[in-house]
Amino acid sequence: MGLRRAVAGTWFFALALSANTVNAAGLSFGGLFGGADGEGRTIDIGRIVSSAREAFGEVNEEKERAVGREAAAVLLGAAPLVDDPALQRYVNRVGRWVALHTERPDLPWRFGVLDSDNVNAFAAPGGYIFITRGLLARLHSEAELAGVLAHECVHVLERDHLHAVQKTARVDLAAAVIGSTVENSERQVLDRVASGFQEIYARGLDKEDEFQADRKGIVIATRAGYNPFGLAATLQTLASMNPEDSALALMFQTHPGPGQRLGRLDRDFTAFDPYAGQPEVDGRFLAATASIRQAAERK
Amino acid sequence: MKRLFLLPLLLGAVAVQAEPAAVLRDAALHAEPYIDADTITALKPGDQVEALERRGGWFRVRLADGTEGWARLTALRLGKPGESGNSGVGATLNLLTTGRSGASGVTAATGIRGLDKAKAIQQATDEQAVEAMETHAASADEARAYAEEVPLESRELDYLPEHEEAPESPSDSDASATESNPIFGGDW
Repeated sequence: MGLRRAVAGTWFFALALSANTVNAAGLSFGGLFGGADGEGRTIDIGRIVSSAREAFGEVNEEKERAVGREAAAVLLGAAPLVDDPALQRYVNRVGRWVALHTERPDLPWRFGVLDSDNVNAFAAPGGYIFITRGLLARLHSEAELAGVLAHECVHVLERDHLHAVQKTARVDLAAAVIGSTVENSERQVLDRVASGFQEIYARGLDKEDEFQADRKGIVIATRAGYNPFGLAATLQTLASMNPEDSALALMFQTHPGPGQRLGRLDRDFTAFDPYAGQPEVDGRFLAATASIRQAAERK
Repeated sequence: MKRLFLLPLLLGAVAVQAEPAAVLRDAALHAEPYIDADTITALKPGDQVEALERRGGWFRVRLADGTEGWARLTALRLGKPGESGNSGVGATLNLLTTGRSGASGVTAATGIRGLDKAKAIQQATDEQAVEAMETHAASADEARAYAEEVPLESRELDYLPEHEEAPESPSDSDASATESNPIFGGDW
């Protein structure tokens, strides 16, 4: 099949490109190519390519969840949960309500606030969503929070991270994803998944995936009854921050600029104007997040 | 906190401290916060205005000559023009549209701070923390009950159709830089 051949060709090309990219950038990721060459052994191209082909198959929900757990563990290894059960519960209630208005309402959605000054939010396959304390402390209303969470939900709905695995020459990772089932969850396989996700979170998704997540996220937040402009207001907050602020570094490296994202949303402005009277819900948001904002102001 | 939010005002109305803002793209200053309201004047990219109040997707703004009206939230950037330290308006606009602050912003393409590279490379994963998340999970029923308290009303709304025309290019002169990233093409 022409398509299949073209796809395999892409893999070869991407492999070469990826190796060059890494060298040019002077980066050294332990296990970037995973177990295949980790010990300095010769790479078995035939085996890798056949794994890669398999990896283009649809990942079932169970595998997606297993991979997502590992990706979530990566994020939680980099930053723990904020030790504030009431805050975590609040974000889970809001997030679950938002997620109920997606095409996958029955996923076991889990939300977490990461204890980091960084301004960012993350999704992991299978329904894990994270927002950093740094971003949450800068939001002004539940509608803004809902906008951010809805954006992340779209990455889960679209399986953007799994597609990133398939697109970015992570043959070993793709094979690991295919091999990862709940029964077959050997540490070695999961370690490869974990190292792959470290790279994906550092590198970010495709920029069009981000625009798409903004565009669909607004619809989801609006379906959930929130003011549609929460996400746009959040982007404005990002745009008004000092761009040299190190807390923004990863966000800016992995996403299109906030002004550019606002520009895309501007094209859809009229579609959401009729819903502009939907509530912001600032009262209970400010109460629920008071502790982290006070901590931020003390610094 | 720069923006001061007064407690529950009108639905969807948010008061802000009068705050400087820059116009990001060609836009209209409307007499009311509606698309079909009369246009008072045209706003040009780079115009400096003062943002007085937000309502839904609109900001009430005051121009340098004292004229007041409503502008789309998506056409404005809040903040002082010189706020970005050494970069000034031009560099700020550049950053806003490209997501980078100049040559130095490009180098550390996989560098992470905070949730940072050093930590990531250690490959520290925390499986127990994933388990701990379960204790905070909200059921669908719990989420519905919590929404009911506001109340938030669900509504049916389809995703928007794709635009047929290409996206409008950014308003500054460095638009081409957004399309090609020498290190991770298109990954921003």
